[in-house]
Amino acid sequence: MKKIIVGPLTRANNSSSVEVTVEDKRVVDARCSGIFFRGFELILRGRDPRDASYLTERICGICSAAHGTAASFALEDAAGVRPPRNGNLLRNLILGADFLQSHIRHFYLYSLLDYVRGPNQRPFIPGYTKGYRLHGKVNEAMVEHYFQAVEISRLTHKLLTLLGGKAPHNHGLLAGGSTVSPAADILMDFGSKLRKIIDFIKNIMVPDTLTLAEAYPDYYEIGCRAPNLLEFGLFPRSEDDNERSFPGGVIIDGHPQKLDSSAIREHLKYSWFTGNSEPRHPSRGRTEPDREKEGAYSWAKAPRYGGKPMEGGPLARLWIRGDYRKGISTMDRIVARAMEAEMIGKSMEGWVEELQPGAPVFNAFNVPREAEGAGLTGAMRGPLGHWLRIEKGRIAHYEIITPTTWNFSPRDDTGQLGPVEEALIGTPIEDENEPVEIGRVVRAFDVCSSCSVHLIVPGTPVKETIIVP
Amino acid sequence: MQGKTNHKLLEQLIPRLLKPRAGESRPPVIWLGTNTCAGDMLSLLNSLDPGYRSLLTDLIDFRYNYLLGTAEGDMATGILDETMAELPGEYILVVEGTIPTRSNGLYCVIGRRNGEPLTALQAVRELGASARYVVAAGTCAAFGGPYAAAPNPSDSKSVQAVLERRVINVPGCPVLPDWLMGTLAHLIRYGEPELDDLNRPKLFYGETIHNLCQRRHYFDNSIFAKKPGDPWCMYKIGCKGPVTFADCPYRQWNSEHLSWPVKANTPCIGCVSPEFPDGDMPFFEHLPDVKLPGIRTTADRIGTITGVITALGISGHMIGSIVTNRLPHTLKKGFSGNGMLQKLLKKLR
Amino acid sequence: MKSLLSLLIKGKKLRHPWPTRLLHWSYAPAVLAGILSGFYITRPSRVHGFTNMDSARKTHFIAQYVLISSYLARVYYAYSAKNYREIIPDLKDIVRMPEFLKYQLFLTSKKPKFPKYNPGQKIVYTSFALLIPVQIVTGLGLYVTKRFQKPATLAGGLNPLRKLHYLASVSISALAAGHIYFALTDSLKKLKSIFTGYK
Ligand code: HEM
Ligand code: HEM
Ligand code: SF4
Repeated sequence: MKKIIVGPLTRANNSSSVEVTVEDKRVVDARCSGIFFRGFELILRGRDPRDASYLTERICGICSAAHGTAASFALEDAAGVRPPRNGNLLRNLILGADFLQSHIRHFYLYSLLDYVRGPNQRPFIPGYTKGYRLHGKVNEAMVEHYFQAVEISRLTHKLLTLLGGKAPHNHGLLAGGSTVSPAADILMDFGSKLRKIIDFIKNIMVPDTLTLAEAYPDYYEIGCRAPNLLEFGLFPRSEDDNERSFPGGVIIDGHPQKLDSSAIREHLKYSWFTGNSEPRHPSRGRTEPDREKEGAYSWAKAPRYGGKPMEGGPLARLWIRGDYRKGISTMDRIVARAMEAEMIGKSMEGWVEELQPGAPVFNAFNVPREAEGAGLTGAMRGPLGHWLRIEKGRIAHYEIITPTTWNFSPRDDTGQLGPVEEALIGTPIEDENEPVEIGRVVRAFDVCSSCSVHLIVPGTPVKETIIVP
Repeated sequence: MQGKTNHKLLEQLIPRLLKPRAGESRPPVIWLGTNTCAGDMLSLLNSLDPGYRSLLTDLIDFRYNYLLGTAEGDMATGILDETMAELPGEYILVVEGTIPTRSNGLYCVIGRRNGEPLTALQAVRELGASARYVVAAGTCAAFGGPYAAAPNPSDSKSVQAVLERRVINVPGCPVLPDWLMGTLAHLIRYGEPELDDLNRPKLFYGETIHNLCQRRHYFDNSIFAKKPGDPWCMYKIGCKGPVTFADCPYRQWNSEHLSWPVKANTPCIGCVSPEFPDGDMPFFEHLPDVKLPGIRTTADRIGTITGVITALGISGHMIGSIVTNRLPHTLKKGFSGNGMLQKLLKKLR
Repeated sequence: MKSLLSLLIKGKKLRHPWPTRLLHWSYAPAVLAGILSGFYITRPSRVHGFTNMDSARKTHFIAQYVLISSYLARVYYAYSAKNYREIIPDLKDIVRMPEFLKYQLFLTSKKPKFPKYNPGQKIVYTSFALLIPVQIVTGLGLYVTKRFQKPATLAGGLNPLRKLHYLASVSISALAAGHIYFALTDSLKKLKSIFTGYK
């Protein structure tokens, strides 16, 4: 038996750490213990509800548009306002562009170096020496694509800039709609940049994932877990939000079910929180951090849907929509991500066509004095929820459950492992000194530990802290 | 400067690699991510000229990068120790993120050393002590930013607040790639740039947004946007341009000079300022909130309340003066105190 | 008629020597202009008597020069003529405060007599003397933003500085309103004296 701690787990959106126990060259236990106490919820209290979309974007640099979108949905829900038609399309385009950015950067800049040797140059060295299976020209081409991906991902951020003023942390996502009136010149610029990105995804990124899949076929057997999948629904098809392009839904043990967000509970047994004696819905949760709590090992609460640990992300989304149901493994996650990028790119082209120059983009509204709202959306890494309560015109309660909280949750009250923990069990470790396999399994989930902003309430003694998964 | 490597094999396998040109020395750079959203590094990737690739080959020797480095775990942390030992006084330390100081910095651990957590606080202090320059990239590192906002649960501080030496602040949420590239280039080619009172390079932060804004004439002529999305001056919906130092209107975003928040018909939220976000929220209001012990209210409301109290006080007093006959008496006495006014009025009649 | 007029205008006792009057009529309009243009700058609306930002700001900036110079001159005059003692409240004023308040709250009809200014006036004038420098320092921090960064750095940024400037101007406006009300209603003799010097 040997314990391995990978910390910092670099090349994730912000470094993180995972602890596994290895026996006979296989992972037998895994713990993703993290500082998932997102003090952001505390920081938001007392602020103007309209500020939430800009401020929560700052939770995460790579998925900021998803937080902006969820915050906008939540306030729209509370204020009872809908965006105009253009507003909805523009917001979809902004979020879509950030999806492309995140998926491309995740695959090439974060994930790829687990499978491909980088150039002999810093910061690609030092690195692990074993376990790479691509050679010669193939490896070289991948490195070339790495740098192409840097260029292309810059274009994705330019799409955001065109419609949102800047990127990351764009200004175009607001309750009530968006802000840049679509004009022919902007749409031309947008469309032609989008074309280049789509070409790259279609002709390079998707084939590259298949090259990896061919060289590492065993990863269809590694990182597997039961098909318990969750998605809140991505991209409202119309301003009324009756239907989403990627529908929300649930798969429990392989069986599709209708999404019922009231089935969400947060478990605290293994988390450094006291408060709820039994699991509660996030909008009702009242928790206080307690770092001394016996048996707990994570700052992450353990959200469960109908009592099950749920995985979110491109694979879950495509599975629920019925576009990809091959398997649930590390390689499936990677392939699904690239496929999803291609689909989103295509949808975006359609939305650009639908935009009507000159039509309104923003509906003004008054912030209610007292109201509640929920903003649920798909994000790059899975389901994202913002729950908001307004009192006296200001934020009284704000709760965020990020995709990474689902994926990286610790054990729940009944002792069930979180999804990444589940996936890690059984992973073969060739060389305990170079556990490249751990990173492969974890990164396929697209870790986004920035979404857990390392914040802890004052007055709570903290003896030691493990780095965020 | 060729990196020390344990990849002899690799060199044989991949002959056509990006090797630094002979005889050229690129300063080593350590990019530390502390309490951050990674937005600044992602933003740097948006740099067009030089792009990330030529940054690596032509400008700097990127020794450590928390986000994009290949090494993970102890191997990554080892690079920090190695650089400190081998190249004291030579490397440039770039820090992205705030530094939590509560519990000796345990709220942000960036790795392990000898099995013990290595906190961001410790790493920044050690690396900062022997760096040639220390650059704070982004508002968090420069001033604290969103994660240090009230109630500042982790007691986060700016890099300058935990280091004795001078830190060059390159704020922005995130930092615009040109600002950071420009600062690095200046440091490498010409040394320290001219800094303002807050140690920001004047080159980029020398003028207010407002003074450079394309919509300034709308401001001067009081043509204001009423809601986000209107194509006029954003002043009335909280634009912080008048109190924000940056060249966004000229430079615009993401290297291709495409747009910036006001061009996107939204207010500037002052993300480069030391008070961001606490001191300039609400974003869509002109003045920041007023916080008194136990009370948080808008500046507007303070103005209104004061106005109402004053008006009530004066009218109350006036009613009292009339009822008690004081005011008529005063008027009767007139300007000379002996009823001269009345006599004059009578005479005139 | 003529004698009546001259009596009316001239009065008997000198209450305000010419520098007091001259300075009062330089800073008073400057403050009033600062208030009106300042509130227009905060919340542009025709209510404040301006139609555009440009004229409001120019007015504000002209007023600010007049205010700064007349304020400095007044401080110098207070120092050289030693008349600051008339303005700064002293122990006697505190002792006589209840008496003064009783009268102002209509609890008694006996008007108390004071050497020159009553405690209320003294408090108001001293507050002006303290608040105007706050306006000047915060205002300069907003005006010459680039060269004079100290106030902003001390306040923690330009936004907090702007807030201070605003809060101080709210206080000044309230005080000025009170001052003008009492000046117009308390005693016409004294009102006259700020123009003619004589009571
Ligand atoms: C009693 C005197 C004054 C009053 C009542 C006053 C009031 C105001 C008010 C209410 C504002 C608007 C603040 C905002 O919302 O941004 C303002 C702005 C300003 N004031 Fe004053 N102020 C006074 C004196 C001064 C002085 C002495 C200076 C300069 C030395 C000054 C310089 C400024 C500047 C530069 C601005 C900002 C203008 C802009 O944003 O374009 N003020 N003032
Ligand atoms: C139109 C408006 C104003 C009128 C009619 C007015 C009237 C007067 C009068 C009658 C006095 C003499 C009081 C007495 O002798 O007991 C006085 C003194 C004074 N007023 Fe005003 N005032 C006006 C505006 C202001 C403003 C805006 C300020 C603000 C700074 C101000 C500051 C003072 C001060 C400091 C004194 C004491 C003068 C000294 O002893 O040097 N006044 N005012
Ligand atoms: S939009 Fe903002 S920066 Fe531009 S002129 Fe108006 S207030 Fe100034």
